[in-house]
Amino acid sequence: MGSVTTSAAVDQFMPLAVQTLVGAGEADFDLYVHSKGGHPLLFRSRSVPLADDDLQRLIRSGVRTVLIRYDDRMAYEQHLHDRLTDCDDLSLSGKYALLRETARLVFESALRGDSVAGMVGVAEQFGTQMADVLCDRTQTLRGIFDLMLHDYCTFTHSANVATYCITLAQTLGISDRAHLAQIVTGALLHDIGKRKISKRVLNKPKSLSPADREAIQRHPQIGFEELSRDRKLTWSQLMMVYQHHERLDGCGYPVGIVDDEIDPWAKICAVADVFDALTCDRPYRKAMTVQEACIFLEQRIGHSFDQEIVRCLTTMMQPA
Amino acid sequence: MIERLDSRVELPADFFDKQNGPIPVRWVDLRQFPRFYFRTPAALEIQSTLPALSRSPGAVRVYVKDISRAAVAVLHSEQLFPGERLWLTVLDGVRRSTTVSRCRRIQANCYEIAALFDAGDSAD
Repeated sequence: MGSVTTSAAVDQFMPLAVQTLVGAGEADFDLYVHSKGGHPLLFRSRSVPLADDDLQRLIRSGVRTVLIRYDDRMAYEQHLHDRLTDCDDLSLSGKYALLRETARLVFESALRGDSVAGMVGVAEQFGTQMADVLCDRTQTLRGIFDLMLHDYCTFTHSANVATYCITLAQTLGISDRAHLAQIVTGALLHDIGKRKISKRVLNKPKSLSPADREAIQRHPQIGFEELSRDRKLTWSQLMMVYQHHERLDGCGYPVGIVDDEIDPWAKICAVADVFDALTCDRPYRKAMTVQEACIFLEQRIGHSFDQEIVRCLTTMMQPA
Repeated sequence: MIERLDSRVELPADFFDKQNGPIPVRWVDLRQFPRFYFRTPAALEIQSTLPALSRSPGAVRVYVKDISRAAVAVLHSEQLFPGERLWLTVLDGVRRSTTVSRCRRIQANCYEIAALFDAGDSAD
């Protein structure tokens, strides 16, 4: 390990999952880890081949994310692209991590471009790929949970919700691969309206004022308005965006519709959305354990959430 | 003519209780213009809907709840979605073009639809 960078340079780094580097070999970027003081610490220079043993040692010691300089982003994207086009040797966890990471980078680029069509295109592309990876049920949802990141940045949340949605949909009897891909796409887009909500409000560490709450509660409608003119999206996908905060008893938003008025895909998305929100660290509270989150959902069966969907999720999240 | 149109909307019991004048403003309101109580039947026809949605043609009877220079709120038996465009005809027989901006469920078979008057079609 080498030099410690200055604290002023910390924001020039981007985090990435260690898992995505397995098999990188001679990757053309420097790699950093967090030092105890929080500063990036050079772990491996680009001139030194990246040994899988070193990465496995990092993973075993509990390190899940490492850092690269933003300037090296293109090289990292190229590595991901190369691995994704030739990943038959990878485990499900490896494929999933690669896919999530690639999706995150492309999604972030699309977000910066502020092109709704671009984001729909990216979500569709990754919907299909994620469906291909996750329909191969060689691992339990509980197993996949351990592969997920739980940092609650917007893309991580969307990717996690997409993962829960497709697994729930499959277990609930949806087997058509095209429909499963559509569900992943809808889930990846479900919070797209949050782009228009102030970060100050979204990341507020304290409880929200009524005005803040009103602002946040606009995001399903904002997302729906942005996407509803796109002819590539189905009505149920749009409802995942518009109705994922609706509740069976009518206490949700934006419309306050009840049980049968809520699209079945939106009901799945609602359960997945809340479960992921509860099991991630948030600016104002620590993550709940899986067990606590399951109890939270179970207590709201019938008035907030659909019984079959919640039972399906809580059963799948039981330890093996 | 409006009275003869079909309507399945279930109005709240107090809908026609005598109320007039401006509607009190909430502190979080971002509205440009004051709203006024205005309870009357109206004809609603879908002018255009969204690509992923289909609607049957024809006019139905709805009820105006309140109105401002920029927007109108009506009670309808069906949920409408933001971005759908409507023709609204009120007592004066003039057909106005509006676009749904918000929908809220009041009770079974009763949704409050807020719609903005399209350019050149304000309630002045």
